[in-house]
Amino acid sequence: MKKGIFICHCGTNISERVNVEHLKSVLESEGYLVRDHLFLCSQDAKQLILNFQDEVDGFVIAACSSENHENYFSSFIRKPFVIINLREQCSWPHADRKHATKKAEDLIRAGINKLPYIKKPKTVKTKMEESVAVIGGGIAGITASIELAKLGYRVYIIEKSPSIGGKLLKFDKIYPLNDCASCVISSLISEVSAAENIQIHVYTEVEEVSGYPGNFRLRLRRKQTYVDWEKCTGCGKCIDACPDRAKVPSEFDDGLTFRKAMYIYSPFAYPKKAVHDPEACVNCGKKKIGTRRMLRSGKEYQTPCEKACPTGAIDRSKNWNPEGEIFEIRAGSILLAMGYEVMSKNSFPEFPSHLPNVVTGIQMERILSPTGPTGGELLVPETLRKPEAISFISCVGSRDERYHTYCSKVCCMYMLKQARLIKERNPEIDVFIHYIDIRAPGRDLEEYYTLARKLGIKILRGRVGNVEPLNNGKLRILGFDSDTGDPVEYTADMVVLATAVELRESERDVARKMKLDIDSSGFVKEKHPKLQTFETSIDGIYLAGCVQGPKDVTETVLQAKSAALSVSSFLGKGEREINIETFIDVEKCTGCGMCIISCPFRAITAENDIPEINPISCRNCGICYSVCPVKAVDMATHGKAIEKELEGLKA
Amino acid sequence: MRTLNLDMKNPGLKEEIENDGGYITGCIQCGACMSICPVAISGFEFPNKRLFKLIILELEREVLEHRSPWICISCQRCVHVCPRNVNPHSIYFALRRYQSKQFRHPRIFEDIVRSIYQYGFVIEPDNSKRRELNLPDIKLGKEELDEIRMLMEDSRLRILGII
Repeated sequence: MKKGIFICHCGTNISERVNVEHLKSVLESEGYLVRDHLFLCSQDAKQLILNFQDEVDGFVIAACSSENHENYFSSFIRKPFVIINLREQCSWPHADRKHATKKAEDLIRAGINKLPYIKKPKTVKTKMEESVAVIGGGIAGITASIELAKLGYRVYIIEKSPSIGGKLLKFDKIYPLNDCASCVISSLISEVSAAENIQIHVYTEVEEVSGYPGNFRLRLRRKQTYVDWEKCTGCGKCIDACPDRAKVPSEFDDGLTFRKAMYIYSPFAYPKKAVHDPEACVNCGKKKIGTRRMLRSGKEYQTPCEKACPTGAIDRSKNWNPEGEIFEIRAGSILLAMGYEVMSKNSFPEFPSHLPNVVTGIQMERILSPTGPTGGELLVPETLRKPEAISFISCVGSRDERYHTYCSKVCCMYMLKQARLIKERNPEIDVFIHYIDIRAPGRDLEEYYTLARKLGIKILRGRVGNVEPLNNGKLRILGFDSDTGDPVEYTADMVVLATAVELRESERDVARKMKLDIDSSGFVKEKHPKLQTFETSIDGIYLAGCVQGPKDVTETVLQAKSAALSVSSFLGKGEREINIETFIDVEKCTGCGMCIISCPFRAITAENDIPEINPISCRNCGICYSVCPVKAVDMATHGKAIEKELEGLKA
Repeated sequence: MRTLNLDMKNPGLKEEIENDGGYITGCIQCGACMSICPVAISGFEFPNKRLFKLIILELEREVLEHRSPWICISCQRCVHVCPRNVNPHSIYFALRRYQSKQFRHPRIFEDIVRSIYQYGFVIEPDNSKRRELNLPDIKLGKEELDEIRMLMEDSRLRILGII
C-alpha cells in the first residue's frame, strides 16, 4: 500500500521550527511518496494532491489543526486521509528546531500507522423544526427576532423579567448621536409585538434544554404572577391600592427607588401588565396568599389589590406554586441573547460603596433619565441637592487581576456620555473622569471624546486610590494625574463607579444547561474568536450581544443580525446531515449495559439486550468506546484508529 | 511632587487663556510639542504638557508659578506638529500676558522692559566694542525712542508700574 505524505510549510509557521527537507529525505528513503508545499491550503497545492489521487491508497496531510482545514481537504480528497497537526502541536509550542523536527517525524509516523484503520462514517438525515427560541428580550434578542420573523421563521422570545426591552430602556441617551434610547428600542418593540410569527414569553425562565441541533426541546417555567394577564389592562389601580410598606428596591431603577409588591415593571413595559411579587407582599387585609376568607354575608373577602382591579384579574386565593407553569416549546435553533449585568459596587474596599452617593454607571443612567427617580433632574441621591462636582472612576473591576482581566469596552464611552449630558445641561457642575486608558475606537466615537474635552470635562489619567467620606456628606477623592505627574485630590458630591460588565451566574447556568463552554472571563465562548464569533461549539446554538462579551449597542445589533442570518442558513435547508462515527458490533456485545449508563447524551438504548445508538443524540464523544469491556464499540476515526496512531507514536 | 488640590480652581483662568491663546481643551496630552521643542531638547525644564494640563484643570496657583512660558523662543515648531490644532505657541504668549497681569512674571523681564524703555534696546548699547570692529554706532534717534516710549506708556506696563 503506497502512502502519500504531504508536508505543509504554512509560510514559515511550520518550516521555521521543523526541518522539512530532512523529513522529506528520511521518509522518501523509506519508500513513501513525499511532497511539500509552502501553503497546502492553496489552489496549486490542491492540484498537486489531485495529481497523486490515483497513485496512492491514502494521504497523510501534515499541516495545521484539522478544525482549520479538514472540511476543505475532504472536499476533494477521495482516498482515506489523516491530518497531522504540525503547526499547533509541534512547531508553535517548541523552540528547539532539532527537537521539533524529531517530534514532527514521530507524529507523521503515527499518522502513517493510523491510516489503514480509518473508516468512513455513516451519514443520517434528519428534518429540522422551522422555529427559533430567542432567549433574552433585550436589543439583541429583539433585533434578531425581527430579522428571523421577516425570513419566515416562527420565533419565541423568552424573557425572564416581566417586560421585554432589556437594559436599553433604562438609558436616557445613547452615544454616538446622543439620541433617545427608548425611542430606538420602542419602535422595535412595537414591531415585535405586531409580528404574527413572534411569540413573546415574558416572566419565563429556561428550565431544561434537550434535543439536538435542528430539534431542540426547551422546558420553560412561567413564574406565577397572581394576575390574569388576559384580563389585566395595565391601568395601575392595584399599584395605588398596594400599601407603601410592601416595598422592595426597584429592579428597573437599579435599587435607587422602591416598587411595591404589585408593580408594572417599567413605564415602557411591554406587555404592560401588572405583576404580583409574593415575596414583597405583606398580606395586607389579613389574607394570606393562597387562602380564602369569607365574609359573614357569605361573600368572599377581597384584599385591597383584588378590590381595586376593575377587571377582576387579580386572584390571591391561588396557591403559590414555586414551579409556576411549566410548558415546552420545540425549536430548530436557539439564539442566546441574555445580556449582561454590571458588577455590584460593593466588591471594592477602596470605595465607600455603602454610601448612597456612590453609584454604579447604570444607576447614574437612571438618575439622568427622565423616567428615573428624579425625573431627569441631576440630584445627589442622599440629599436631593444639586451637585457641584461629580467624579467618574473607570475600570472598576475590569482590567484588574483581582476581579476581571478583560476590558469592559463600553465604560469609557458611557462615562463620556453621562459626563457630556451633565455638562450640557449644567455647565457649572465640575465633571472629572479618571481613566486608565480611554478607548473610543468606533464610528464617531473619537469625535465624541474630543467634544467632551472641549466641553471642559476634566479627564485625568490615573486610577483613584481612595474615596473618603467627609463629615459634610461630601466625598474626598484621592487620585493621580499622570499628565502632570502629581497626586490630585478634591471633593465631589457624587462618585460614579464604572463597574465591570459581567454575565450573571443564572445566565451562565442556562448556557451550561446547553453544554456550552464558558470562557475564563465568565462569558459564553464562541466557536472561533475570529471567524465564528457568534456560533457556539454546538451547531444550531448562536450568540448575540453581551452574552459573549461586553459590547455596545452598535456591535450588539450587528452581531444579532449576523446571528439571525446564521440561524436561517442553518435551518434553511430544512434537513440536516449528521455524521455517525460510532457503531456497535452486536456479535461481540455481551449486553452488559456499560455503554448505556455511561452515555452522557442518553443516545444508547437497548432492546432485548441488543444495544442501539440513536444517531441523532450521539455526539461522537467516545465514552462508550472507552468503557466497553469487550471492545464491541468502534468509531470511524476516533476508536481503533487512534489506538493504532498511539502505537505508531510509541514505535 | 506635591498633591494638586483640584478644589482650588479658578474657572476664569481657562476662559481667559482660551480667549487669548486659542482653544486648549482640545489638548489630548500626546506630548508631540515637547518632543520637538528645541528648548526642551536642549535640557531646559520645559514641561508644557504638564502646563497645559494645569490650565485645563483650572489650577491658577500652579500656572502662575510656572516659569516655562518665558523660555519659549517662538520657533513655532510645536504649532506644526500638534495633531489637535492646538496652537501651543499662542498659548505660551497668552500665559505670559496672564502672568504679567498678575505680576507673576520673572523679575528679569522687568529689567528688560525698563532697558527697552530707556534705550530702545533689550540691553544698553555698548558702542566701544563696535568701534573696535569697525562697525557703525547704534543709536536710536530721539523721535524713534519717543515713539517706542509712547507705545509702552500706552500699554498695561504703566498700570503695572514696571515703567
